[in-house]
Amino acid sequence: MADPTMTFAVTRYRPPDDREPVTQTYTIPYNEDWVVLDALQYIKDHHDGTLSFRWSCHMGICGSCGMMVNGEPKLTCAAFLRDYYPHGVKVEPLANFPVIRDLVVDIEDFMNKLQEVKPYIIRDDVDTAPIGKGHEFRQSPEETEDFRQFSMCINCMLCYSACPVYGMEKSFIGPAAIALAHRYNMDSRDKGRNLRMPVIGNSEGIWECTFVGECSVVCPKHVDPAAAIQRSKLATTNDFMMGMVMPWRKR
Amino acid sequence: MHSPHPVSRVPSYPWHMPSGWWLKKRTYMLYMVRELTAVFAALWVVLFLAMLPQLKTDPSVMRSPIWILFSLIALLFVLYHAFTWFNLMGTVLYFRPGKAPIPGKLIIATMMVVWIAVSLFIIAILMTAPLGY
Repeated sequence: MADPTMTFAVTRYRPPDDREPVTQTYTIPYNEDWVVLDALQYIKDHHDGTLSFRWSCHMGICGSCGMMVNGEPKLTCAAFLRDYYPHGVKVEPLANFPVIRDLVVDIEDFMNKLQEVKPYIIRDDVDTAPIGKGHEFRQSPEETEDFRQFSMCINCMLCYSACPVYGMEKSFIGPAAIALAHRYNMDSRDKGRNLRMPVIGNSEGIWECTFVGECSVVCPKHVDPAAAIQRSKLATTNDFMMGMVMPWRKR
Repeated sequence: MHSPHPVSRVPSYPWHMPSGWWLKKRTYMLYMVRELTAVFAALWVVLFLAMLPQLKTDPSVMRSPIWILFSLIALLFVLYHAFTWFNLMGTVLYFRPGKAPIPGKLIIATMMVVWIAVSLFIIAILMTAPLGY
């Protein structure tokens, strides 16, 4: 009996030869321990060495190998062939992003937005706090739990790929960047909320989101960006109302 | 603030959103249905307000079969909208009064109970109040 095989339909885009992305089909040996990323590497090694795709850790940490697998945004290092066999697999570049080559998308827009939300702890007393016990910015386990899930984000951009709002409106800051802004806003050690809220609390930020909710469904690290966005909406509304009632109150 | 038109440093093939994107996934379709329900709710309110002045001269205006049928359809949509809305509240609301946050399921259950109780209260008032026609 012949060894089992699988068919892979892979998007190719090789400018300037290709004027638009095309689909190319490959047959690869089926191995139940393989993931889609292994299959792509097999194609690169045995069929066409020019096939381009991003990857790094092969263990669901680096967030580099996100692609559309049978129409769903997936980390290809975590998408096992056994979950698709004996059917074929279609691999496309992440939806909602411009394609540079084959399965490689342009992530510059996301990187810029990520930078804008200042995803790091901000406070101005790091250097001036007294050495010793007071120099530590302590946090209880309960306070950590307030944001822990949001800190699991690996910037893989699957949430952007699942978000039709981002697909239609590129100025939308998007799920992961807002989730990370919320992560630091919720951190009891952080003092940078007033710097982040003007970036996310507008019509290109949280108010662009119409709560489709797919960002949270596709997240491989079980982050809930949709929750972060809605909670930020509530916080912004609260700030606005309190500002109306008590204009002298400092946020 | 970020640039509304992000400029890329490398040439690339731009993304085009397919026109029927919401038909390609069940969850996208359910989302669109949820959004559509708001149209029915708004339309019912507008029509209701438009008919109010006529009540004085022609009380039967709100007893027409077409209006009752439309109201029933709008009610179904509004119920779906309200149900999905309250169902999301467990995600949206986050309270940690002490050591542990209040579970989302408890928030949803509380909201559903309050919603049903208030609805029943309003129905009771409407059933007992003299409507004048």
